[in-house]
Parts: sequence; C-alpha cells; structure tokens
Amino acid sequence: MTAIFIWARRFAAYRALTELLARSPLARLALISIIPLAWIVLANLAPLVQMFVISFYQTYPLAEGAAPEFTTRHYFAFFERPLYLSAFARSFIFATLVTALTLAVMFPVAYYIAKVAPRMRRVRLLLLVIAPFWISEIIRSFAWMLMLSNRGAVNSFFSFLGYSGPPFELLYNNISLTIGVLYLTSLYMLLPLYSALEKIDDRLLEAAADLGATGFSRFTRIILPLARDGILTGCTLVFLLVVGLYAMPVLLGGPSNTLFASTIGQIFGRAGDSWPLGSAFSMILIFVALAYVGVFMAVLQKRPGRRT
Amino acid sequence: MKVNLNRRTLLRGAGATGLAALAAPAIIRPAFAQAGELNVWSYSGFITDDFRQRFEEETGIRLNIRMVTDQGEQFNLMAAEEGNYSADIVCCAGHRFYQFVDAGFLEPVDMDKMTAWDRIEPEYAEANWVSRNGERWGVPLVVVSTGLLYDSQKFDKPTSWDVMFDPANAGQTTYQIQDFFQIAMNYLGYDGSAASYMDAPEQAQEAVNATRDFLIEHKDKVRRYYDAATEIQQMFVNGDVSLAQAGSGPSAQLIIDGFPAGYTIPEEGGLAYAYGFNITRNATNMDNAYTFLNALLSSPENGAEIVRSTGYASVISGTGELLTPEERAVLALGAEERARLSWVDVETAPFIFDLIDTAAEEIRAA
Repeated sequence: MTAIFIWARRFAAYRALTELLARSPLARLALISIIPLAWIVLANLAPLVQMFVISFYQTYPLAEGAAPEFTTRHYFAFFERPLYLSAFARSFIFATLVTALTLAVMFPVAYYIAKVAPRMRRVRLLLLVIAPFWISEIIRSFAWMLMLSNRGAVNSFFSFLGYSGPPFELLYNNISLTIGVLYLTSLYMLLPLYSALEKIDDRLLEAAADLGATGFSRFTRIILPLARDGILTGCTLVFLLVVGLYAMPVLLGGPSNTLFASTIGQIFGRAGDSWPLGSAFSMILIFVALAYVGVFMAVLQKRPGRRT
Repeated sequence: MKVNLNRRTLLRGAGATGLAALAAPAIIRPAFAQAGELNVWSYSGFITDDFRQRFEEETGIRLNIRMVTDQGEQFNLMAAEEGNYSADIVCCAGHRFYQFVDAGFLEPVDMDKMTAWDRIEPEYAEANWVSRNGERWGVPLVVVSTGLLYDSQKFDKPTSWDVMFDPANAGQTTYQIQDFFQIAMNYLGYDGSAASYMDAPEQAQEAVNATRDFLIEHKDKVRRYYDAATEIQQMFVNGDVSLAQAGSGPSAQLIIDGFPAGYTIPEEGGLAYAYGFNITRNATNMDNAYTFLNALLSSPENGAEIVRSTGYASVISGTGELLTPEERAVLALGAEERARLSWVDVETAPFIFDLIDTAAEEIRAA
C-alpha cells in the first residue's frame, strides 16, 4: 500500500492534491463530503426538484419545440374530487395505524433482544430478524400471497385440521395488507428501538426495583422515556415508508385498499399528459407527510419541565 | 507539469464533473447504436426464445429485449426519454397506438422496406388500427379478444355478464378496469365504442359517469383489480377468483394447461383489438428494425410459436395450419361468439379513453 502512495507522488496532480489537503481543512471536508453530497443532490434532490417543476407545467411531455406554460391548477385538482381526498385520508390513517401496530409488536421483540436475551445470543437474534430482508419486498409479497390465498398454506392447514367450509378470504383485503406491511416495516422499527433500549443502564432498572417500583412503573417512568429517541426514529421511518408505499398494497391489497401512492401511480401510468397532475399529487403527499411527522416529532420531543 | 491545485480549481473540477454527469445521456445514447443490435420493448411471449435464437444466428443482430406490461408504462418511459429513445421497437396495442403517434414517438412504416408485409392476413394488414393520418404506423402481430373467463367446476357456461354483478358471486370476480369499462358500458345499454357520442361529449361523459358509479356500487363483488394478464391465471390457480374479464391469451393458456376453465363472449358482447410492433421515431438501429420485422412475419412457424407462448391468435398467414386440433379448438371462438365481438374503434378511442382513464382512477380510489 505504501508503495502505491510513493509511486503516486511521481505525479504533480497527486502532489498538489495532498499539499492542498494538508493545508486546508475546507478542502479535506470537501473531499470527504463530495461523493455523499453529489449522491444526495443527484439521486434524491434532483428528481424531486424536477417533479416539483413539472407539477406546475400546464402539460407534459411537451410537444417538440414547445415552451412550457405554467399553472397551479393541478394542485387545486386534488380538492376538486372527494375520491382523491378519501384515498389520501385512507393512506394517512393506514400509515398511522400500521406505525402504532408495528411499535406495539416490535417493542417487546426489541426489549427481549436488548435486555432479556443473553449477550452472546443478541447478534444471532438480530440476524434472525434481519435475514428475511435480504430478499426483495416483491418476492416477500408473493410469499405472502402463497400463504394467504384460498388454496394457500393457511387455508390448507385449516383443511388439514378438518375444516370443510368455504376458504377464509385472507388475501386482497385489509388482513393481507396489514400483515404484509407490518412484516415489511418491522426491521425499520426494531433497529432504532434496539439501539435505544440497549443503551439503558441495567443498574437503573435494578435500583428502581430495589426501591419498590413495580414493573409497570419501571416501564413507564424509566424504559419508555429513555427509549423515546428510538421510538421517535422508528415511528418516523415506518410512517414515511408506509404513507408512500406502492408495490405491496398493489400486490396484497384489494379493491377497497387503494392508497394514495397507488392513485398517483395510476395517474403516472396513464398514457397521456398526466405527469403534471401526478407530480402535483406527489408533492402534496410529500409535504403533508413531512408536516405530519414534524408535528409528531415536535410533540414527542417536548421534554417535561424539570422538577425541583 | 506542476498542477497548482487550490480551492478554485477544486471547485472548477467539481463543476466539470457535474457537467459531465449532465451530458451523460448524450454520451450514453450512441452506445445503443451498435451495428449488430436491436433494442425491443415487448410483452412476454411475443418474441419466443426459439425465434430469437434463429434470428440472432441468421442475421448476427443481437436482440436486447425489455419486458413491458402495459401501454402507459411504455408511453411514460418514452416520454421520459424525450426523443432519445433507448428502444428501436415498441409494442403498442391497436387501440392505443394513436397516443404514441400523436405524441410523436413513432416512425411511419416505410412500406418499401417491409418486404414481408404480404405475409399478414389481408383483413389485418388493411385494418384501421395500423393506419393514422394516411400512414401505417406499425406491424400487427396478434389479435386479442376480451371475454369472460370462468371456473367450469363452479359455473355452467354463463351467457351474460350478469354473473359479474351477482351478489352470490361477491368476492369471486376480477377485471382490468379500463378493459372492462367499455364492456360494462355496453352491458348497461350505453355505447361502449362511443361512436354515437362523437358529437355529444356531454352524453359521453354522462354514460361514463353512470358506468363508473355502477362499478363503484358493485365494488364489493370484486376480489381484486388486476393489471397484468398473468395475474388472472395466478388468481384462478390459487382459487381466489372464479370469474374474470380476461383476454383470450391468458384464458387459452390456462385451458391448454388443463385448468378447469372456460372462455366465452357473453351476449352483451366483448371487445377485440390487436398488438403490434412499432418503430420509434429516428430509431437508432432502423435497418435492423426492418430486418427484424420482416424476419418475424416471414414464416408461419413464428406465428405458431407466438400463439403457443401467448395464447393469442397470430396475424401471420398460414399459422392456423401449424396448430394442433386441440390448440385450434381452444383458440377458436364459435361464429355466434365472434359476432358478439366489436373492434375497439380507433377513431373514437382517443376521445373515450381519456374519459375512461379518469373514471378508472376514481373507481380505484373509491
């Protein structure tokens, strides 16, 4: 390795670069951050900016040689049809419920791994939870379809037990969608929770117990407050993931589970000049979701006043 | 040479890198234009593995195939490419190709280069769904009918679309909203082709609204709205649905594979349309595109392979003679059922599909 650096010093450009880096902290910062910054700007921000601009176009794609005309009518179109509002509200309600459900399901799991399981087993348990996420969301959705269909594993199991009635309709409805999405989001809740719970000093809990605090009291007055940052991060991640979810609701949801992201997908999927409308709706979804999360974080981050 | 690298030169370098990134599409585009290649967007089964192997061996042209599943997907991909199309050939439906033509995405067919055009069955070669503005815009490939697919263990051959809205069949039906919409309009007594509404847009809107409201009212009968044809087969095999508005292709494949199902055109009628291959405007590999299209049409063997891989009827002359009697029986509709089919009207399609697309969004969102 050293030989490579010695060899590279033969080149004036390399020498100039190392000299610049040696004397300028700003250059060092620029060098370190240029790739992540370029990634954020090009891969994340640029498409959003483009979508924001298109949302104000009268029509898109533009005819050859035509200059764009601008309008705000696509934003107002959102309020013109109650059906769009209902899909929008459905998305937020669903995302809120799924976030709460994921928290309720994953908190005990995270607590078990962080506090109850022997230290030697924690990594193995985490790997066990993470392993299914090496497979793509789509394939996992198909796996759920095989499990939940009328001739799937669950209904076959009931038949095996002697049940002879009509099959349980578990697929293409709220049941399949909630199961699938909960499975999808569990990791995003688990990791921040585990990280927060793992940092809680066990001696605090022991001291509280010695002083007569009940299990419930230790949970509400020590564990929950100290895990607050993990809960906040997990809920934010899960909510933002679910509110914009597209593929899984399309695969596992039914005709009455259309979420707003699917509505946007339909608009973009239309062969015609529907991009401005789809872009405007996407912007509305992004801004309202961020505002919703912002309020949620502001409320939860508000620390109670110190007692004297 | 000593390079004096300071903050300014570093920023210049970063700027140049950014410009290079912005220019990347222009640099990348010529990469598509390699002499021995052809970039095709196709539905599954339209280019069979056997044909591909023969074509590549005989011509030395490598086919780069991207699978697509619907018309909107292709349209939006092409719109995003803003004239620098990565595809030389795309796959348009006969009743949707006008959108691609009007958007300027396609190249009219140069009939002097289409040496195998006479291998197309005459009734399809001159159909109005390949012509627009006095030009031919594509090569027809397969013909599709849209009818009722039913589980023959649960239903005797239904004669009406009534079964799709029968409360007894709640949760057992599926359809593709846009494809079913015109059938539902006919079922309700409106003009699904919209030919009679051409001078009365208010009437068309009323008919579409009434049909939309009817389909929303009967949403509880629907197990799922599907998008891709293969989803119907999957839902039937898994036992999730037993009635579907379906294309002839996936229906025929399901029946040929031995699934207990039947396919019929109910008395209120069904629709017929075609799929074809279309050359993109200023296609990079234009000559290869014509070589490909001529090769595809040149032999009924290619048509028979497409029929077996898609279940759709081929427009290539002589294909029927290469099919087995069983295949012909499944693929052929009786005279009475054929008479119930109406071709999607290319002239009214732009008008009515704009209304239907919006109604479909509303049905899904409801």
